[in-house]
Amino acid sequence: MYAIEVENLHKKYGQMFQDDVHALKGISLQVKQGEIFGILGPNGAGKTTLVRVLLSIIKPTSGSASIFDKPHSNTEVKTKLSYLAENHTYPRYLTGEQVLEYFGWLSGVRGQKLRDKINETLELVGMTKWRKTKVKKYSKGMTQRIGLAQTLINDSELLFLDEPTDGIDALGRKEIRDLISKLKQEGKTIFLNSHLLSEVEQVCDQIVIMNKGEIIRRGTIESLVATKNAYKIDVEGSATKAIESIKTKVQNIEYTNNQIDITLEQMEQLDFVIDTLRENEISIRSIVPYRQSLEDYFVDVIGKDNA
Amino acid sequence: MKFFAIFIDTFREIRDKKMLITFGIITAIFACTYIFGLSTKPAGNGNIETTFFGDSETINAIEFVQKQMMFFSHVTTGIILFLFIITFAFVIANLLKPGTLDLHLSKPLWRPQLLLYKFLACVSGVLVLMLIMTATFWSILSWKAGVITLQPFIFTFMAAAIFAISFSVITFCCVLTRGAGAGISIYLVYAYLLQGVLQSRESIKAGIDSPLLANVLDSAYHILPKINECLTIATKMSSGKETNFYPLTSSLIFMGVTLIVSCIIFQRKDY
Repeated sequence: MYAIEVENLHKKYGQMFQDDVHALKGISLQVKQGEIFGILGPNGAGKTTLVRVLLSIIKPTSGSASIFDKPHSNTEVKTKLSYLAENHTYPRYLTGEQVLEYFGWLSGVRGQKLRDKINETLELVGMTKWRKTKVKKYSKGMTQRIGLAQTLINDSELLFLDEPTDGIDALGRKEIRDLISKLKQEGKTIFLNSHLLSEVEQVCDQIVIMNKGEIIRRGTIESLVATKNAYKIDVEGSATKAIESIKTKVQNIEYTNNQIDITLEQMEQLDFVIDTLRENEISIRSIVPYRQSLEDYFVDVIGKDNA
Repeated sequence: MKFFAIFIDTFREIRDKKMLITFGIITAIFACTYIFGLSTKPAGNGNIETTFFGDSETINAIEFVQKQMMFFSHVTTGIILFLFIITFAFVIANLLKPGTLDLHLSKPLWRPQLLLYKFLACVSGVLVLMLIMTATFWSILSWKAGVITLQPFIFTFMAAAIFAISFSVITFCCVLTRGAGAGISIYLVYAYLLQGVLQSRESIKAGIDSPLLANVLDSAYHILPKINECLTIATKMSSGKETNFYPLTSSLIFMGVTLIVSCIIFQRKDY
């Protein structure tokens, strides 16, 4: 059973005197239970629209979506999920504690369990000290933390987090990343929508990249970004003679200051490189594969798609 | 539990809007006026002799309480209903704000359930506040007159019903426009202008000999809510007089239909 299953989902927004906006164009995806699923894309790619359709805040034009094998619009399904909206507006007249109490009640949590959960989640997001302060006096980061606590209040199995670290400082971001990892360990499924690619890179098991309402890439981060057979080899001793021998068989090689940067056509060629260096009595200190950052990959993919 | 949550939240919101303080001040002014301005003494045969800021009269005690409660209700209901309509219009509009509505719709709540709970929370809020106000004033009068009559409370329930009828229009407009402005404007135009026109339709029909206009005015009168006439019914009921309930029942039907249509729109509309 998938946590989320989406099949050929389309969403068109009708506009008066203008062409319809086709926000989602045949989106299909599956999210396994217990994984952190990242969704990336530039502004207007359709990420938030997809989340809002899944939460049945808006209705799809066509296609189907299910959550835990039940139609996504089923009210019962919503007891198993929670949502941190990107542009959330918590009632400004409530204190942080009252926000959690209110949304806890609406989620069906009550009594001692709710009180315990409020204490626990406030502690977890570092807001215990400000629990009696009204939301209108909170900074953006504090509101975001309360928002995150609100998603944890009903012990949901599936969390939709739309820009969870928006407005939060570097230290807070690290705490939230750790929290997300902890939630994964507890078996929760997380559907993460974030602009911060480094964040996604560190926590997500699977990602999809969306552009103009379509999924243009999908897979694990490793499978998407580690595409080049490029390595950095730190050596000791003069490798000039060995480099000359290697040059004839590899795609690209550069040697400066005891460091060899090499690009191979096939990974198997690495054995040849190591053998040649050792035959020339060069000590190998380290071999590190070059890895494209997710950000570079993202910019590259979006650039190509827009072109 | 979910209704309770929405009810408490609605109360917290109007408290934040300083409505409870305003309400408390109005109640306190009336209470103090009667505590310090009114003096009574028994006059036998169920009568009391009252002195109110220098004016003395001998009157049946129950009649006195009913008369004063009616005066109080007439003075306060118009002002308070107007204030409540404006305030609660913003309560509904705030629920429909993009960031707030998204959060609510992600909870295990059926959409019409959310709208109806909010509507009922607002109406219950008005009823509770008016009951507190009426009970305070009623306690003072009963204590001064030395009698207990519950008839004046009918007016409070009727006032809440009239608020609900008026508020259904506001709710409908908020669902359509996502803002309070249109609803308040339409309500004010209807309550203070159009309703008067419909009430005097007979004289208009007599002045302009047009069967089409006559039909339009009659249809509009029967379909639309009759707020002023409902207030008259409330007054008559509180005084124990017989009355025609048609304006009330037709207004309640209007409220029901308006709420059903609002729920259908709210269920189907993409926000």
